[in-house]
Amino acid sequence: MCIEVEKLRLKFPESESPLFTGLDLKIGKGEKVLIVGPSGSGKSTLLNVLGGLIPDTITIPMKADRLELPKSSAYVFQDPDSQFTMPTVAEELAFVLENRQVAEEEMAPLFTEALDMVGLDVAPERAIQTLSGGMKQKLAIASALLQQADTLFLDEPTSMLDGKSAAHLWDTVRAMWDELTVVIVEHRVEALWHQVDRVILMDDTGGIACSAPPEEMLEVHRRLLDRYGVWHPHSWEAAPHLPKIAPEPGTMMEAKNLSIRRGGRPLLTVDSLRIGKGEWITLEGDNGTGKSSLLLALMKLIPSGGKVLFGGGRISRTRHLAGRVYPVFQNPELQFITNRVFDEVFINLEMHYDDRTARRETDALLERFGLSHVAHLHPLEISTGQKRRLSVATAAGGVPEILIFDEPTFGLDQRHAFGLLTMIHDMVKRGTSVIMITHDAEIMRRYPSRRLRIEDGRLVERGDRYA
Amino acid sequence: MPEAVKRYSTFADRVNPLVKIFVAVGLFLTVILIHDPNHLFHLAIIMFILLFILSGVKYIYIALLTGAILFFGFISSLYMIFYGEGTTTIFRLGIIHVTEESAVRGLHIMMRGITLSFFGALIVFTTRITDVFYSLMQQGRLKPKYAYSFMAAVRMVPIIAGEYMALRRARKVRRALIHRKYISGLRGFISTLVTLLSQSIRRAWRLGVAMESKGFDDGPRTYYHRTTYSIHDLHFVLLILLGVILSAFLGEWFSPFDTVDAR
Amino acid sequence: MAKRKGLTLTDVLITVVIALVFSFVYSIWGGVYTALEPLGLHLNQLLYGMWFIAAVVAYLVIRKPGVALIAEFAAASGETIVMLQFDVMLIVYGLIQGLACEIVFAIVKYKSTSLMVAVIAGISAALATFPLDWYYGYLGQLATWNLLLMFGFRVLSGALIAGWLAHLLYRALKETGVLKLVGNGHAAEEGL
Repeated sequence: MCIEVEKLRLKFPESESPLFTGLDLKIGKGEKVLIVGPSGSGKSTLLNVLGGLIPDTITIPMKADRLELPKSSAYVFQDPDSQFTMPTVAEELAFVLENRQVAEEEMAPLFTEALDMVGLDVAPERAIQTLSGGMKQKLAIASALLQQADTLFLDEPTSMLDGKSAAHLWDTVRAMWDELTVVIVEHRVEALWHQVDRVILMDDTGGIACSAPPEEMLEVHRRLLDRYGVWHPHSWEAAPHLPKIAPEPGTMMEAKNLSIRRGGRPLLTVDSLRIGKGEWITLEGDNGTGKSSLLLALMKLIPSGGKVLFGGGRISRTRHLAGRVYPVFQNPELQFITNRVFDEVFINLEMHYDDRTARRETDALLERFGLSHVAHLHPLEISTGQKRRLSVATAAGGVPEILIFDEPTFGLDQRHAFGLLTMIHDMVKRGTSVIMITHDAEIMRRYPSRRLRIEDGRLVERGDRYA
Repeated sequence: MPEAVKRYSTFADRVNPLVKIFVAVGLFLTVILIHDPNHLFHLAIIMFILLFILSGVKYIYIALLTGAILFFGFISSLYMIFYGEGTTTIFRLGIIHVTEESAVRGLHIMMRGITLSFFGALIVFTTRITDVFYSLMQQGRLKPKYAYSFMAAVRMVPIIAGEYMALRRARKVRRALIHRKYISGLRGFISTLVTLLSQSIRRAWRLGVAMESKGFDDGPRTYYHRTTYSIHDLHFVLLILLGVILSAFLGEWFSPFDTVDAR
Repeated sequence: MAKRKGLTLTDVLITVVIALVFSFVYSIWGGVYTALEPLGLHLNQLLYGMWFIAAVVAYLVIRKPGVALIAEFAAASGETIVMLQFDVMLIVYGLIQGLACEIVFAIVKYKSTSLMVAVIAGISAALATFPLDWYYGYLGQLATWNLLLMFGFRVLSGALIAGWLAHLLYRALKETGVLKLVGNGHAAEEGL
């Protein structure tokens, strides 16, 4: 056995009830295990216990009747921005080797070897900030390799990557994992599900609901997976059936001859983009092609050539359309202003209603977005999924005419993703136009009335046109 | 320093960063003790020449920087020029009272500033920030947890800057929907800072966990960038010392100011 | 579970990033500060407290010896990192101001998070570099009213910005729940 845990008990100091009250888990040497579970089920916490980060590095009180952990373990975390210490690729890799007290002259060949193994072809002196998300995660894997650990823990390593980079990352991991014990916590599992030896499903009371080989899990326990709202390769079969809505006549917004530059070079040109009333448009394209920039340019939040028309008039400043066109950004944290979830929605409504109605409407909105139980908390304190729903709720409060989303389902579990899509559908039904960036092929296939794609620096129309 | 601004490299690039910092502190104390504006005048010029020759930076950057240093140096001395005590009045307007003595004293304060700024610029142009901390660990016996925290800060700069830009955009958009009291003035300033701080603290915490998971502890380690003392250090110290002494002689020989004591 | 004394890696990292965020504020305030200078009326001194607010905030968050000093050093060198400007004076001043705060915090044994302590630390830091300024800027040769103005503005700013505002930020930060991450190493294991 590589990992053996009996009767694990763990409690966060600030929470009322314990997270784990007697969890048992065994993982064999060389086994590849995928852990899934609803948000808040303690997947990451469990991973941190298994790798020995709790209780020494992260001081959370815990006890277990028996605790056998791997001798050496390495982690790859979710967010590239908070797992690298040093400015450049070489220095970051050296950091691991310095910790192991490897002599300075032996370092350079080891870098090359590790970078080769993960297929990351960059100059060692390259600044990490200039790497793409996928490259950063490969670097994290290279640095884990240099730790020479026998167990690898991956904590949602692909959650910030587009579909292509995510699949590519799993290929990289699989190419090097033969000798290792690998434990993975992940939301996006399509590319991974059938590669692991075993899938462990955690329930929402800090226990293990079920543990089985991947095929058996899908055949025998699929209802359990759906009950806990966990993504699995057949999740979309249970997706909400939302009939496509025919757009109403009339143009809401139009962009003509838009050109966006980045770092002095042309990034994207859009000859013509028309957003009709009640349209649901998806925008796809690889990382770094300028999808987010296009949305920012439509909002006049970054400079661009060409013109943007809204409601018939030409728009030159953000404030000319702010409020009527409302974007929900990727980092919802940065959109919050107040210190209560309730206030965050309320301040939008108090402009439209008298105090009592505004309060009632706020409660109703929070209820609809499943946020009532956290209404008294600080917006920065709630979970990622809740934050994203809150940022959408702030938009719904103002009843904007166009909603712009930058990857709204990213990081959400199945239940919340489906819930959000249903809400968006409701808003479209009421005449709001929606344009959203997404990497999810299923969303693009199922819901929009129109699909756009960025290819070779141009915006192109893709089939499936409704009207 | 990014390689893009450099034209050539000099021995100053190879001087130990710790030595540079000690020389900088020494220069600061020296400048405080110099009261003869003629002496300081030549020292400032010598520092400019050293910056010009030793930094190896493209002329355009030196020109821009020099302009900025002179400008900021001048306005930070205005309080003394306007309100300093003195007997020989040059100009008087309301509460402003410029005298010969206060003007010289003001210029003296300005020259102190620009002498240090020129030298500071030389250090920035010839030192890699990470080397400062590698050197502090190796020659200065600084504990790794401090050094690596500071080096991590270097990586955080663009991240925090990006976050601030994104936050400003987000507020621009929300502004239209809410009462302005929520995002203007002190309230807006505080909520901006609190958001940035709380995001950064969370990130720092996660980074700490990641670093320890990579086997970091405060014990013995090897160093990828080895920094040592070398003969260049001695040359550098001697060069600056020579500059200070030479400027004293030059001050006697060519004195743009009438007085030898700015006090 | 070994209780960890002194500053942990995470404590230092958090201190440094707090200072770094304030370095950004300085870099922006630096412009305002400079714009107010030409009047020579020391209005810029009203913003002076911003230069050492990092020390007080970092202390309130972490409450361990050395934090104020590290925060000030980090804030001063953060200027170098953010603006690529190396100013020895800034570093020397930062260290002195950090030390002044540190002394105040040591007197309360690194326990109190009261507004009073923050204000006193702010004032001490404001006064700490006065002797150095005296020599560097020939303050003795300044018209007395002008000197008093400078002195008064600086103390006021230390109390208001580094004291009151720092405390306000600390309380707001506490509400975000992020401070639960800081030093929760004293939690008990009973009941598990």
